[in-house]
Amino acid sequence: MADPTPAIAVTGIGAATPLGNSFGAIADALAAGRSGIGRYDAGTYGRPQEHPAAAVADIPSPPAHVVNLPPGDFGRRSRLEQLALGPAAWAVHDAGLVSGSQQAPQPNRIGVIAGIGAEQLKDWERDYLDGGRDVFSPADRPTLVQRLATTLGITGPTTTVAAACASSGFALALARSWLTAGWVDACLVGGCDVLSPTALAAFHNLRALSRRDDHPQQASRPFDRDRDGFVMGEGGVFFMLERRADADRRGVDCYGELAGVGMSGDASHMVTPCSDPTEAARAIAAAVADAGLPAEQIDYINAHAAGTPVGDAAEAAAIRTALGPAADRVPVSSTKSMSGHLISAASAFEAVACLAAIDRGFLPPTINLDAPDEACRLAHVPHTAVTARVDIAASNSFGFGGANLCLVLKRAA
Amino acid sequence: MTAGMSHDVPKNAVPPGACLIRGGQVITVRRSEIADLARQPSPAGAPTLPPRFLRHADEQTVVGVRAVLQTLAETASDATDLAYDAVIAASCRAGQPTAARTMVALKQQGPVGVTPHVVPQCSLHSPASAVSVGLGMHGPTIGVAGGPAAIAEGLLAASTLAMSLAATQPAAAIWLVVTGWDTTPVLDDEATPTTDPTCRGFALRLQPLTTSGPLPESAVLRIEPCNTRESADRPAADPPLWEFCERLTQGRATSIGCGRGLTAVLVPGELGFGVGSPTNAREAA
Repeated sequence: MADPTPAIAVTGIGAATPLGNSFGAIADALAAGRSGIGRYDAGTYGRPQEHPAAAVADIPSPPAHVVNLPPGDFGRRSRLEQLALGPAAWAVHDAGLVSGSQQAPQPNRIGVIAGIGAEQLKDWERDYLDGGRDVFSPADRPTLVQRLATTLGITGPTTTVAAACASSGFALALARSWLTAGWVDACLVGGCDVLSPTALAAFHNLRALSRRDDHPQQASRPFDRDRDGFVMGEGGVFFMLERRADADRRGVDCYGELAGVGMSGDASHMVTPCSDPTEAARAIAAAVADAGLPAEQIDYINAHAAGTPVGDAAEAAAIRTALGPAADRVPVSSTKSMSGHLISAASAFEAVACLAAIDRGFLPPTINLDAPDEACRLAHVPHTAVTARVDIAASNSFGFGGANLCLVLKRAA
Repeated sequence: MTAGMSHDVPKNAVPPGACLIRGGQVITVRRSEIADLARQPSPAGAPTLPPRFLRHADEQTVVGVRAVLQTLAETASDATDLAYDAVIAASCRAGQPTAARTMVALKQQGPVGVTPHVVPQCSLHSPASAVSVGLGMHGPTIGVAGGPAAIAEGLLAASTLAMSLAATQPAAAIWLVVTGWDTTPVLDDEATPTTDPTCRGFALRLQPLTTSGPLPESAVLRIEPCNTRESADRPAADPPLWEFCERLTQGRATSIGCGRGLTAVLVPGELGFGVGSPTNAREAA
């Protein structure tokens, strides 16, 4: 019989983010409190469309021993696909599970799950801006995740998961269940998203984006009294997950374990964040319980906090509700102050931030937190990173439509 | 590696993720009928949604919500507490007409012309969120798929979520909502539809089974790992949505490959899922 609750280990990471393209680079940026946000022009048809945003400077090509693409092939793929394929291939490499190697499971025992919230919208937009007509009469073609699996030679189960800004977190939750059930022996899981004129315009018109256009690096200020919205970012982050026992048998190092998952739904509104913290608190409490831990043992919380007036205050209340008195001392920060909001990839990126805190022994800061809002009273980590031992970290993600998710990550024993 | 070793299940035991099918409905609607349906989505005997709740919703969302409401109407005698139910919506190219209108508006008017509803109402998660928000369900709410394997990905995601729910909210159900077009609407340069295809969907109300009991022979969804090389080499194929819906209404079992590693097996049994054509039914009434 399968172990009903096997430990699930992170054995590989690949990334393309505004703060760097590797686990080490991201950890360095977070420890230094460096902002990846700048001025970004998404203009189309000769009209400027400037916003503070966090763009990826260079997307890493896949390593040739993982994916042997013809010359120029990677560059011809859409930016969204590059932000999936590059990081995914590097995660395979990092885990040492290159297809055909002795250690790799059979291709049909590897799964692929990606959190991508609006793949078709991004594809149609790119095609339309290039003069195409796909949105008027769409072609029937495989999804990005299916193409990703084909490119990597993986034939196991695949799926795309969407829960708005919590998409890649839900992808991780599903991957953990696939491994727990014994449906796969390894799962490539993560998420990606891309800056786009339509998404920027939609969120701007919704008044959800920060309007600090003249000072982009100060625009993302979660929990601050003067926050005025989030800063959109882009990126791709993928993990290789395996059952810990399998990873140990292979003799590979683990970044940490995905120890707990909690999920709930606000059922409040399709667009507006829910100001009632009840359901978000239930997701946090469920994740902590799933990890088999008392709340007092959490060493760090990476908040969803995107810098919106309603959302940050509701999350602070949710953390206080879930943790009780422990909320007065458990350090909380929002790395979106540095990375911007990577939308579908945000959960996965913030899981990397938690693993970096565990690995390097520091609390990532919330930069720009000059005047903490009284409505967001928490044990903040303002401005600069703090040296601390972190064994257990929780990461919150909340999406449009009220999708709430909390992940608990812990040091591999 | 432990391929094939970690998922041995005793014969007749409930495998991980198995669900009992507690109800379901199949819905077909012409594109031209969806606006009316959005204004009046609830059939007799179903809960009422907030006024104008679906006014910004994508066509597939409207059809998915109606399939859930129709299922609730058919099971009205079964006292239903939806509070902790979860929703999974698997759609195929949802949001296309709104996306097209948005692209045209961006070109003609610039960023100011882009509707703020395009992301929250026309993304992959939107049908699931609409069911959850409209009916007050506080379980997990996600969208899956987006492409031609929507049925397989939906069944697999439902079974996946069933494992979590069985452990944390054993009384809660999972609503699986799958929607798609028989043929995708063709639009002109102003994003006005020039064809009137059928939008089809089904909703299943699934009850996670605990692993301690025996596995029922019918009215179940289960996932079977492919342990042999032969099954691993078998090509995965998703039937068209119309064919799958037809099999559901006929009570015929269907197996669908989820990649080459897993197979989703749905056995509807004698439930006899009705086929609703909501607008016609309303006019007849």
